[in-house]
Amino acid sequence: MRCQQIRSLRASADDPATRTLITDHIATCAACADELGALPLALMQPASVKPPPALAAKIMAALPPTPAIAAAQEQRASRRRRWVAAGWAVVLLGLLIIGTVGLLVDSSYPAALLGGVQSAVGRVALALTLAGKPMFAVLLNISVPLVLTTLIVGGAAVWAWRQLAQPLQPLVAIDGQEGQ
Amino acid sequence: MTDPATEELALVQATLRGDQSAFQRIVELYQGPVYNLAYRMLNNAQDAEDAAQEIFLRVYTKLTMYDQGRKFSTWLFSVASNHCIDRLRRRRPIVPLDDLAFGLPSKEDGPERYALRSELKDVVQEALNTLPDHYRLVAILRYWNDLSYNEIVEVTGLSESAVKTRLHRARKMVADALEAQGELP
Repeated sequence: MRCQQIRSLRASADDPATRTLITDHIATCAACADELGALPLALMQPASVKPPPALAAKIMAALPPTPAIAAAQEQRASRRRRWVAAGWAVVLLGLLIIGTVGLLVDSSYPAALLGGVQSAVGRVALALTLAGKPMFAVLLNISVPLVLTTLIVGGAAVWAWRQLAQPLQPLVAIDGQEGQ
Repeated sequence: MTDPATEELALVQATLRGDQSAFQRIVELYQGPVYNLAYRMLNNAQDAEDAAQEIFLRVYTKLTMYDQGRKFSTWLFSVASNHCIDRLRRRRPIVPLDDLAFGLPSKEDGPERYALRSELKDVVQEALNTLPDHYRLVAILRYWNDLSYNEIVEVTGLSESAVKTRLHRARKMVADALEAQGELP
């Protein structure tokens, strides 16, 4: 019997006659012995699960008219996601920069550059500066302990690893049995 | 009788021309294997259903990029495998085990035998869950989807020796897990 036929019998491997066929084949075939010999019976008869009856209908209902249209839609959505992410990054970075300037120079400094706090643009700049200042402070407060903790934990790990990696001292011989 | 590969290629080409009934035929042909792969990988019926839908949508969307010189099923399994691995990476670490007995077959078996078989399959699924994702994937592709070594090589991008090594270790791990649960002598 050929290997492929034996493989197709796995599904009913709990039948004694089939098991004898498989066992006899394995005894004479190195390739099957390698693969099936060590295989638990449970894996010889893998159970397949039935998909839900409405699965195909749900898949078909979600499809755009053609694959080309689907690809174009996917490309547009992906581009939109990238723009949104880039927009958020610019906003956060802008806030961080203006907050840092406000913290290092003066809160009204960015507003003064844009016509003073009396002007509409200046008021917006002041509001953004006040919103950005805590961001800088939060970043500073988080990053310093984070870097310090990483250095301490990393250093301790390296030290412990070196201790473990040192060669062991030879054991003291008992009753002069060393070398036996 | 038409060669299955030729029929698949014709279905792919018809789908690319906008014939949705051709893609429906592809879905009908492969929903079982794809759903099984997702179910065994994700160990959850709802996740498997969602994953199967997303896999077919991805296949449809990327069909323009499919190299028609390759075997379609291998490409499909490659998309499905990557999707399942991505899902597992995104998933929270706790895996729900509440619906393991979902849809186990065996129409002819009596109630006692059915219960025994169901129990065994649950145990197999639990043993399967103990494997690392990439080992589980290779074992499922081989034993549930019945793919050859070469096909698994194409699906996973691994070398043949890596596939054989992973399968060997996966069998050993499943056997160990079953033994630990008292299911093997």
